[in-house]
Amino acid sequence: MLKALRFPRKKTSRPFKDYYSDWFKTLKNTLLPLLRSSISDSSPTLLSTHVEMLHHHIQSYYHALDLASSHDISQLLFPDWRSSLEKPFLWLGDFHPYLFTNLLRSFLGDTDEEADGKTDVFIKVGGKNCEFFDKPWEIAMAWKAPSKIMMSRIDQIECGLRLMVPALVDRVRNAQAVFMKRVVQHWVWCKGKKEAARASIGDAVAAQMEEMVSVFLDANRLRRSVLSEIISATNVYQAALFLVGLSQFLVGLRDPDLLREFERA
Amino acid sequence: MKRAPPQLLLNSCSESEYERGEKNEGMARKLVIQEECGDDMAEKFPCLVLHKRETPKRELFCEREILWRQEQKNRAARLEKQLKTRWELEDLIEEQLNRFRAHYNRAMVPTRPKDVVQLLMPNWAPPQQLASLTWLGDWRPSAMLDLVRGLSGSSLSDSMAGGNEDLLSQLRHDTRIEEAILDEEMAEIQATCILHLPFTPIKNRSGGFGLGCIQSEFRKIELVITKAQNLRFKALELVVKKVLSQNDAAEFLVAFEGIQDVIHQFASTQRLRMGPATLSVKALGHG
Repeated sequence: MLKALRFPRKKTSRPFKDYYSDWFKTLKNTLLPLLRSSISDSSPTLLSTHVEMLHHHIQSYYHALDLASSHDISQLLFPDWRSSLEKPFLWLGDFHPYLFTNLLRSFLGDTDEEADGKTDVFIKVGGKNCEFFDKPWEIAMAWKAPSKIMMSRIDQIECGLRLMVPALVDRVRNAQAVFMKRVVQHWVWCKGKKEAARASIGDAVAAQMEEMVSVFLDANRLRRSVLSEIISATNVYQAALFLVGLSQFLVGLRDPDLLREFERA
Repeated sequence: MKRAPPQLLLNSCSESEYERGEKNEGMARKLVIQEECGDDMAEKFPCLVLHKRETPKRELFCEREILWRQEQKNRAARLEKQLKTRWELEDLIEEQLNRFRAHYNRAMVPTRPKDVVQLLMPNWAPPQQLASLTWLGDWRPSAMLDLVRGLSGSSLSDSMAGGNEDLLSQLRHDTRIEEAILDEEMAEIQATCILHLPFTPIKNRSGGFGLGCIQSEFRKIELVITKAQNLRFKALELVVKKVLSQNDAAEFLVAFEGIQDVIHQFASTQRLRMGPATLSVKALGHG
């Protein structure tokens, strides 16, 4: 009993860094290869399952971020477990939600460019190894002539993002402004004595971090909902290609060889 | 009517004091006579002037005069000392601004790609400090202005009189707009990087592959950081030179450093106390 009270964290929680490392390994070593292989030669049912698994895996990561935010939000906003290549691209602790829609648009944009049919779509969607060169016809044609319904859903998603993103950015700035106002008050009350000021700013920090948790949860909600909407707006082949693209990006930014090269540059 | 002063006077005044005060003394002497005898008397009977000079009253007057001159001298010296302090303060403020200019310009120096990461998320700053205070890796410019506003409401003395309150509001408004523009530029890079980096499913049409693409993206980010640094320095310089009086500028600069230090110390302690970020396994459904 006493032991349980003294070391409660060991039994009920784990470092987020470890969680992320495991999560990433599952993505890289299990789910991404599964989805890739089912793109090449599996039945639509299996493909659909693997799409759902990978989608769920990404959603579970945002869920974990939400849960961890109650412990120390600042470490989630500036995560030291992300690679040097990833860090500059983080917005409120993770990728910018525009990144999801831009990736989607890039598939569609590609289709427009190749309307004349001269460029081989297999190479375009295949990446540098042309891995889907022998893929089923449905995959090859996934982005040809996207439906009007899908296009209008994408427009709606982007429209929502354009409203939500600046609002979140404003909230961060306002939280910092309110924090500064309070800290200056303490500074003046303490007549510029650092020790006294440090002892008195705890409440101001707590209030600001509370607001940052709220902003962070909303940012994650936005990322989660954009992903869900993209998956539901696209058909299973499109969703598969989209998720492979996103996962390749996540894996690529943590590529050990590239990171070594980057550190040396 | 200038005469050689009587010996008595010369004896009681030191020579140098006399030289300095000679002219004034002549005037004062005349005034005393005029007071005591009236203008006419002094004009008509110059001998009275000589006579008056010999009296004890004359001695008293001389002493008073010496004291007066001494007092003037002391006051001037004190003023001069204050002026010197002011010039020293001016020099110190200027020097500090120059240090900030150099500090904020370091982003202009060609950096390695990994330095960009350091500029955005510096190792020395605990995460809570970054969350509380920073924007693109350093002080948010509009927060500097919030600091001025906070001080002006309480401890700054005279700067906010007249139009300076309006000037500060205008500066804050403009700075916020420029921050929003840079936020958008950064978001643009963050949102389109997926199309330019080498591991996207769609081969990009522009740029090379591998490290080259990454360097090119990092250079764009570096440019945004440079603009942010310029905005920081601009806000700081305008506050110190245009909005605040010299004393208030000094007070602001002290608070600027002090508050950053207070937040840094607080955040460092907090980081140690909190330990690494954790996740409740039970809540995640794995426990």
